[in-house]
Amino acid sequence: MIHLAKIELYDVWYKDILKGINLRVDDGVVALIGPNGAGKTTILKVVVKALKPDRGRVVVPEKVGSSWQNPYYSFTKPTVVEEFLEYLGSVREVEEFLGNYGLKHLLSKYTFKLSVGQARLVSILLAVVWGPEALVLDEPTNGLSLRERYAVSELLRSIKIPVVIASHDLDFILMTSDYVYVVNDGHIVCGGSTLDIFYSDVLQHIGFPEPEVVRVGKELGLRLRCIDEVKS
Amino acid sequence: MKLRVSIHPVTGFLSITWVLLSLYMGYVLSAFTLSLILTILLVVSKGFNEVVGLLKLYAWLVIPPFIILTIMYTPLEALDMIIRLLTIALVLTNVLQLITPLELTYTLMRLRIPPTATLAIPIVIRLSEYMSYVVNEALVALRGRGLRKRKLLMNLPIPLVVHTIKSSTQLAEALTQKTFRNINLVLGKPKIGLVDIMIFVYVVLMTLKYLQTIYV
Repeated sequence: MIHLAKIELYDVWYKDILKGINLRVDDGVVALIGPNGAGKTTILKVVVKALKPDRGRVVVPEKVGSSWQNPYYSFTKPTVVEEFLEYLGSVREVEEFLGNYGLKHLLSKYTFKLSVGQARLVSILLAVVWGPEALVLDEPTNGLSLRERYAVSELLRSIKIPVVIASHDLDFILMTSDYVYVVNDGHIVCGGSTLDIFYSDVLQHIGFPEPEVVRVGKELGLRLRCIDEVKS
Repeated sequence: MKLRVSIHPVTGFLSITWVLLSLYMGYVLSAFTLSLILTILLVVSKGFNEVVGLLKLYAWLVIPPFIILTIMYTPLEALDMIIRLLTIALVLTNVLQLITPLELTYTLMRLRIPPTATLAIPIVIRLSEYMSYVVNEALVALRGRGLRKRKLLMNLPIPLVVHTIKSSTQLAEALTQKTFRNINLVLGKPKIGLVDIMIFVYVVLMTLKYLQTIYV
């Protein structure tokens, strides 16, 4: 469980960065949406204990995996296979693991020569492979192709640990997350199920366009339903 | 209201040297006064909101040691030591904040220091904040993939070195694109201004006063 209560954070010049953040993630995928500089990455850094808040309470698991905006910082070995060997034991297992995400072809590639999208994907897998109790991803879809985005979404849906992502990618969030917090100017404006937030006008208020899927749905006179709703 | 104030690098080094010498000779008050003048210049130049964080740093530098020294010695002795400490901190931080990096580069080049070093010194001074940010980012990323303690520290240099090489390549490409050929066109030639003259006059007058007390 990830729980942030009344988190306040000031920068070195005593300006507020976070103003009373309350966030709770028990399980599933939770997304933080907000404009640039709203404080999404800062919240994630509080979750991984890279930043200590000036006020408030932080309850997070001991082992939190994370992948950040610069994926190359996660690499320490020359090739992709060596990165994973440390955790998976044999080359065959690494091959199998990467094969699940369509990344078998990267096996012998140099890590620092990967394209941004490939590097991000490998970095996300490295954050997952060591068995963390929670996962934090900052802008996970930057530079990813449609197919890779789908693979990441599948991965996040399949792991049974709390996941927090910060992203601008509304389609990816709709595809992946169960719950959304809208962040603006250092505080959480509102939180709700992904569809509720997408159908409200909160996103437009903070400068986002209406999500494409929602707009098309409205034009066709259809309303999206989440899987639980469909099942019930 | 903000006034753009910067000092000549030579004035900066003169101020630091003079303050340290004055403290060594026991002229604490006049050294402290110069430090205060530089602080006021910094506040005028950057605005109070921008330097309020530095005041927090000074408070940490002054209050706890003062309490400890007061317990160990007398309050008067503690005050004397704290003023010396504060004077050094003030003069070093303020001079570094008031010197323009490119002017410092230009001045160091005039002293026949190789261009690589003259560029490196201001970059290290000014970019120390960015460097610590990069180190922090790499630390967080490596922790995020499960590295801890010794393993974390052993592996930390790898992404940093690669990042440095990549950044320098990108920087070189960008500079080439901007036809970075004549370094003198880019670097700012420092000019002696009113502030420099004021500091210089203050230093000379106070030095004459010292000499008078020593020899007359």
